[in-house]
Amino acid sequence: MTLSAPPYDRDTAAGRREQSAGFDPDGALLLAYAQGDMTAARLLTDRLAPRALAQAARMLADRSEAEDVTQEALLRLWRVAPDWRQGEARVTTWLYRVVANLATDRLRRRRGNLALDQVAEPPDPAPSAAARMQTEARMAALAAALAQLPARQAQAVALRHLEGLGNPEIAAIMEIGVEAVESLTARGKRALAAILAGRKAELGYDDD
Amino acid sequence: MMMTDRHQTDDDALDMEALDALLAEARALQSPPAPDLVARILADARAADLARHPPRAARRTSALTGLRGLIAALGGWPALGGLSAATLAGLWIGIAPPAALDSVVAQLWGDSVSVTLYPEDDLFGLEG
Repeated sequence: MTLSAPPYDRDTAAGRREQSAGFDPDGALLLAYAQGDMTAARLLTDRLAPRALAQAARMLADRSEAEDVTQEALLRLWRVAPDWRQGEARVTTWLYRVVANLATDRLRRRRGNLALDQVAEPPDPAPSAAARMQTEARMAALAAALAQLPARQAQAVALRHLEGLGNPEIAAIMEIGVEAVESLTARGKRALAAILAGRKAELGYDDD
Repeated sequence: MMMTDRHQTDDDALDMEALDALLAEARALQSPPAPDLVARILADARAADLARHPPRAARRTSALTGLRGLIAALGGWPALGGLSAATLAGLWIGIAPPAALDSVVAQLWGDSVSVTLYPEDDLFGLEG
C-alpha cells in the first residue's frame, strides 16, 4: 500500500467549497453518464473508485475483498444513474453508505473465522518485509475487531476514525441523527478497545 | 483463551492512545485502484449503459434478416410458392390475355385502349 492524494480533498479550501456548495459535480457526471456519456463514467471512476477502495480496504484489510466491494458499489451506481435526483443527496454520501453496508456485510460473514494470516499482498513493496507484515497484522486485527462489533457501531467507528468524517456527514450517510452517531461512535470505540486488548501482542503493543 | 493475571481495570482494554494510533495508521493507508479494477468498473458501466441504450446498429435488421422476416410474415416458403405461381399467372395474362378477357377489356375501355396496351406488332421482339 502506498500513500497518495485522494482525487479531491475535503481538507483543502477547494474541497471545502465543493462540499459546501449545493452543486454536486459527481451528480452532474452521473446524469451525463445516464444519457450515454462514457467519458463521464470514466471521470466518475477516477474520482470515486479510489475513495471507495480505500474505505473498503481500511474496513476489511483485504485487498481482493475491497476490490470486489468497490466494483459492486460502482455497479450499483451505474444502475441507479437514470433515477438519480440531482440535489437530493451527494453521490459521495450515497457511495460511503453503499460501501459501508457492503463492507459490514462481509465483516459479518467472516466473523469468528477470520484467519489473521489471510491478508492479501499489497501491490507495492513496503520498506521492509517485517514492517509490512507487522502493518498487515495490525490492520487484520483491526478488521477482525470491527467484525465483532454490531454493524452500525462498526460503520460509525469506521466513518469517524478511518475516513475522518465529521458527525453531521456521518449522520447523513447513515441516515440517523447526530446524537445517535456520537453514541454509536463512543460505544463502538470502547468495544473496539476491549476486543483489541487481547491482541496487544499482534498489534506490537505488548512490550511497553 | 488463556487469561493472564491482569488487573480488572483499563489494562484490560487497549488504551485509547494506542487505539487512536492504530486507527490513524489505518486512516493513512491509501490503495490506488489497479488498472484491471478500473477496467472491470468501466466494463460494468458500458454494460449497464448498453442495457439502457442498445446501439442503432443492433436494432437495425440486416437486409437478409428483413427478407427472412418478410417471407415469414407471408406464411413461409410454401405460401411464397403459391404467391409466385399467382404472380406468374398474372404476368402471363398481362402479356397474352385470353380472347374472352380481351373482349371484356375492349368493352370496358374501347379498342383504342386495347391497341395502346397490347400492340399488334412484336412487343418484346421475340419474333424474327
